[in-house]
Amino acid sequence: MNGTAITPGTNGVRPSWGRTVDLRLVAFWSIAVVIGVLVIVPLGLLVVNSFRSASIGDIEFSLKGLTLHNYIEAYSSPATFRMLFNSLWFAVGSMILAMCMGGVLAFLAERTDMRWRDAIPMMVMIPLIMPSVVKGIAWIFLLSPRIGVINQVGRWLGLDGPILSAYSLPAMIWVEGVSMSPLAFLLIAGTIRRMDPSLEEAALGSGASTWTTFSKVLLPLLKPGLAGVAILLFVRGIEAFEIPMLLGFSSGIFVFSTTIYYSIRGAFPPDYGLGFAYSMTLVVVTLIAILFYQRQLRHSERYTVVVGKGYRPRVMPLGRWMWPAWGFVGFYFVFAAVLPLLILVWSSLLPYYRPPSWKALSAVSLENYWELFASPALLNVASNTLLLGGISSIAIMFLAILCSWFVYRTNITGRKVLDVVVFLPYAVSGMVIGVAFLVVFLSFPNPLYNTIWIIVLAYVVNYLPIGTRFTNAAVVQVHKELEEAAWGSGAGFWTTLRFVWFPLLLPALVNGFLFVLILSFKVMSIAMLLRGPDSMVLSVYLWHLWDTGNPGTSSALSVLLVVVVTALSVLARRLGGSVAGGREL
Amino acid sequence: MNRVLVLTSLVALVAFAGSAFAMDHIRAKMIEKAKKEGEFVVAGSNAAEFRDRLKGFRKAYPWLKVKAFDANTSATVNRVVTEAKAGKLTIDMVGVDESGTESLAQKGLLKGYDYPHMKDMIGNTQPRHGQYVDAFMNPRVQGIYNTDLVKPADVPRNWDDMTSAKYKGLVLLSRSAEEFPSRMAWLWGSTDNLNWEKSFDFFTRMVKNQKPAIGRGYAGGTKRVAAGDVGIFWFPALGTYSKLKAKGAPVEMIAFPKFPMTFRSFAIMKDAPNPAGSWLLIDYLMSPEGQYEYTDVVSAKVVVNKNAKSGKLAKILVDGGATEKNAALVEPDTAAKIYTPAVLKKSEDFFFKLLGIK
Repeated sequence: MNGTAITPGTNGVRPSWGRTVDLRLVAFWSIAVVIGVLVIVPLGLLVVNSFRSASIGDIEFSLKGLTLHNYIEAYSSPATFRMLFNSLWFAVGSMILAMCMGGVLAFLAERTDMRWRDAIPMMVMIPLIMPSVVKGIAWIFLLSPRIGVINQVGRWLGLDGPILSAYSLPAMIWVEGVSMSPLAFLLIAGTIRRMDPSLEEAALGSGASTWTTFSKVLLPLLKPGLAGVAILLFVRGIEAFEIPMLLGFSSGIFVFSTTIYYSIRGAFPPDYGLGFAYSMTLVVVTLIAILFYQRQLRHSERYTVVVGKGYRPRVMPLGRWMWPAWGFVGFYFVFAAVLPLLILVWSSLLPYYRPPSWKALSAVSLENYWELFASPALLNVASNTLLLGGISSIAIMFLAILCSWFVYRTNITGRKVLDVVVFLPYAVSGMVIGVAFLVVFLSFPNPLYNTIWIIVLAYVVNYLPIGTRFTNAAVVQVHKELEEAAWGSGAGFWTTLRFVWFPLLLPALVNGFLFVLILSFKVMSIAMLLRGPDSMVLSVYLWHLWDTGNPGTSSALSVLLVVVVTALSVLARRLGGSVAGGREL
Repeated sequence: MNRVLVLTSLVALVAFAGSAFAMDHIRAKMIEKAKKEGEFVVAGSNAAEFRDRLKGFRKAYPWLKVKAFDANTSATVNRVVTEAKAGKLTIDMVGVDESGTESLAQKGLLKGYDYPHMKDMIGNTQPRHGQYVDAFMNPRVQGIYNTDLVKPADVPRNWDDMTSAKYKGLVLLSRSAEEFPSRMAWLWGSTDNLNWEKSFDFFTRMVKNQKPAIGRGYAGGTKRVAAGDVGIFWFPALGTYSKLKAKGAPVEMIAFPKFPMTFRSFAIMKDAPNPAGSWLLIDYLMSPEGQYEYTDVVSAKVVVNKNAKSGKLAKILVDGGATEKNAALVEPDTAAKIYTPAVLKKSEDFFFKLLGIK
């Protein structure tokens, strides 16, 4: 805010804002303290105790007895270096795969004359909304060494061994890569759309071939944006939990997230100190990557073009490459969405898994679905999930809009610090936030431990940075003149909030709310660490069913989960669209 | 002579009636207390199934809310130890392998109670310290196999067969079987003199010759055998096996004398917030009705109450050869000696190193 002349309620005559200004300050500091405590205390406790011989019961904010013991123990073990190698290979491999798939799809959708290319974003949406745990289960059925459908096809074609074993690092990379490709598609498509096309036009006008233009002009222009996307995907890969847990953990292939989980929840006895040391290493890796990402983002914005009226980027003719291009899109859609969904439906109809065959068809029934619906646990789990998703989404969007407003619409001292604190969890994986919350709530007297509310709080911290991405953009877009006009007409703060800001910001709030709600259905790591006897949520329940030998019911729940999340996503698009439409009107 | 007999009988009758009365009195007191508590939390393997499937218990105590935390033995023990150390115990009772309850007892985290059915238990099944009850025998046979992938003539018949290279590419071993080197060392040695050498040699030959796929837990491995993804799964737990077998999956047991038979134990935590409801559940599980219902719908175990009949899941085990006759029972006194942290660590360190995990 740069020295506003008009403040709320002045009517251009008398600045009677003293009481409201105080309220704003009270609200700002209240929120700053709440967010500060929620973010800084758990992470601070984690940092300090990674340097202490920590065991639960004597974890505290104390600088006494600091030691490097945990780090020495962690990094003197060959298993740690295997884990580091696995993590890096997994993150880099899945990032490259996602970039290749998402990049080609984005290019085809944005810059070619491919027929029906408008269908590509819709095709990409299905794998985007499928929870990772569901994808992991589906790919185990597809890539099991002996009975996986894909490996059976390989054997039918005369191959001796499996094409790819589900319980291997390459399979983990494949599944995570396919899983992240929709995100790569969305980010790269955005980068392509923002690109300045005049240089490309100039190259073509100077007689350069399409390939020369692509390699010498287009690619260098895209490079900073692509680098940013690559870093973001790398961070996603290094933090990933669900796929490594399903495919790797069982067969002894550990990455960061599963090693942290194992140290704290799996090892007997648990080794908290080791878990903290691994957590800190992961924080450092992701923090560095996010800083690079921010730098790349600023760098890539220099190449951004502000699109004017009537602008249309040049479309490249595919010519004889049209059908290979469609072949690629078809291949992607079949492997990313159709096969995983079909195999889940098949498995959900069988008493125990068998590869598709006429003989197995005779065993098909809806028994798994009835068993699932008859289970008293399902109702409890569904209500927990709705409660968790609903309350955390509302809390996140409420805090996010206030944070955005304080940061971008006021000049209160400390607002920049608030912005940094809110953004900090973005660089910390969900698993680490889960560990940090576990430590805090085990160490201090509180009534929240083992309840759904500790997970709600952890979700608020974890997803607040995402919430503010929605609200920051919306707040910045609402021009100050509108609120100044309201104030100039004598409207007070609350009237301005009700009739000016709220209608204008509603689309962002609704979209953010639904986005976080969908995430709460999909993500497993935090709830897996913090759940208590009465706070099981859907994603963890799904894992639990799978892990305790119920492939049929876990497949049935996967199918239902995909239906619910798809419905929510459609709702998000509809509501987002209609609310946005309302705003434009 | 007749007088003595009559007198003795009378004394026995009075003692029995007194004992029954005392137990009824304890149960009545526990019911009163549980009504006030209203709920309790049970943690362990199949915990959710206690809550959902034990209809007899639900019918007897419809006012009692059972909360369940499903987790395997080590995860359950980790959680209760952590919570107890942090002073935030939310779990009232555990139902896990005897190794878990024994280690909790050694840490002083359990509290012993009197239970009405103890006199009906098969001999040598209950720990003398009384900190937990061994409610079911838990047979751990040598393996299970897929009948489509392993022909009857190729099924291993002895310990040497189990290390044969002819099963290479067919075999799965769970990393969760880290206690087995110690169990085999006990089986091939004695309680006071574990035969580590023979045990380590056995596992080394098995892994070297067969290059087994590595799994985690037991349910997942059993599923893979049933689906035909692997041919043989060594040292499985049999809960999932019996359920899949009941659904017609092509699985059979590899069971020959002697395999170690442990217990599924139940215990109430020393600082349990709601112990009375937990007591009622253990009381029910030890009764003939509870023993039958548990082995019929919850999990494949062998009953320990002399008056109890086996349920259908237990019968699948017995039909497959997992009988007490074929087993070497890890009796409670033995458990106290072989489930020590030092023994378990030695077993785990060897096993994980062998599998390349550590």
